[in-house]
Amino acid sequence: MNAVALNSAIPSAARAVGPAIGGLLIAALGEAGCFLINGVSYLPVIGGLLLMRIEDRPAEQGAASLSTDMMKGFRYVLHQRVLVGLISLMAMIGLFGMTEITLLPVFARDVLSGGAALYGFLMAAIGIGAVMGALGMASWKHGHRGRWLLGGSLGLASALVLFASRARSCGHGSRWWALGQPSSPCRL
Amino acid sequence: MSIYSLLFVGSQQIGALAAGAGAQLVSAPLVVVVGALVTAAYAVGLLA
Repeated sequence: MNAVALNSAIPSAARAVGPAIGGLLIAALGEAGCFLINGVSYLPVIGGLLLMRIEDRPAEQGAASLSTDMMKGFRYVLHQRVLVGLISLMAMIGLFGMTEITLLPVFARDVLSGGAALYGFLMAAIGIGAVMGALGMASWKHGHRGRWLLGGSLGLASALVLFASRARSCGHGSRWWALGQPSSPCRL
Repeated sequence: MSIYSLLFVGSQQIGALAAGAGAQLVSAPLVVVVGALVTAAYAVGLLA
């Protein structure tokens, strides 16, 4: 498994487990208790950071400024067709394909009529999918990654359409094209 | 890596703002569906 995939898998795994624990804690202790435990959980992290001993490295002679380095990076990327494609795809996914994460509390409470437990389950589902994707990308053959990326993008879009149409079926059947009608009870 | 992070995180923040505004104007499911279709169309155009 390569380092990039492992780096992606660890926070994704945490995102799968954390919301589930959070949902249980909210059910048992309420929001205040959950926030208290969340705050206390930072103490071991802070302790670990304090225990780290990192030697200071002298600044490199003739090092370029941050803006110069960034411009060099942009110029390099613009000349690499594969990198332009991958980065622009990630930007498009960030811009249009991850709206469900922002709107997930609305789905959990107003559209699906659930609570903290449902929200935790939905977040955990996203995390589990991210872990599976990261581990899969690390193990699949190099020659097929483009196809898997295309399949994953289409799979994400299909799953989101199904999720939104299923969620929307609470009021008007499964006619997802009617989602924006003013009479919709799923409006914010 | 920095450029990737800058574009990905930046687009996520802009996307979150747009999603919230879109949900206020129309509905949350419609925003998700439109976003998913735009993403799929771009992926197909790029990779197919």
